[in-house]
Amino acid sequence: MIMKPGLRKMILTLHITSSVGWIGAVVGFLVLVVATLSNQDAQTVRAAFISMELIGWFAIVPFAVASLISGLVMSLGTKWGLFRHYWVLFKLLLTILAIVVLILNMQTVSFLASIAIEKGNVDPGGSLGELIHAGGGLLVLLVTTILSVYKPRGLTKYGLRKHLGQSSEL
Amino acid sequence: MNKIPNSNSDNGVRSTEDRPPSAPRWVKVSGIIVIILVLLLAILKITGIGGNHGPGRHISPTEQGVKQP
Repeated sequence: MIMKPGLRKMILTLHITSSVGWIGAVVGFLVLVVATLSNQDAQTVRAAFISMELIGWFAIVPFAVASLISGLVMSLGTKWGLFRHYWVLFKLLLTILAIVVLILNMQTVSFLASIAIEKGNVDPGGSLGELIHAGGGLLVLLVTTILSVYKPRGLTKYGLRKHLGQSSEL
Repeated sequence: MNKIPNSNSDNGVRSTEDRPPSAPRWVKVSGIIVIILVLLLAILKITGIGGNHGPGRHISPTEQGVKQP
């Protein structure tokens, strides 16, 4: 079902806002990770991990879920479809992968935050792991942004069948 | 200009009898990169080079009986 222009613009605004918010929140998270790696002060490390947990659960995860849902609505409610174009399919798969890794990694962040609250420091490998996860996540988000802007051409087999089906109806 | 994206036909005439066009190059390259990354992760996991994964990785042996995420 194709959405009306007013509704489409509203969902598009929500999708762009949540996606940009997701990237911004990950950048903020990364800044805190770097702070824990470059600073040995117990109070700073403790504060950084507490903030990382809060940013993760209350900014990154909600933005990620909102981005996925609004993206699904946008693709299903417009001519692009969900499985017709490779770039839409790639974006969907990358977003799902990023959210699964995010949710799993947030368990580790919460755990590290509880350690930091108790001891004031954490295993340096923990911060390094977060740097890899958040850096990788940011890379995936940049790829999805590039796909959205450039929309590289290419129809899937399903998309081609639909395209030919619509053409023959005309 | 062909109306079908990535069509193999070069005469500008669309034909349903044509073989379906293969995936664009960027899709193939991306697919190969994904396969390589998955294989790399699988090797790291199987060989144990990457160590344990998840919160348990950061628990010292003395803490294991006390703290569970």
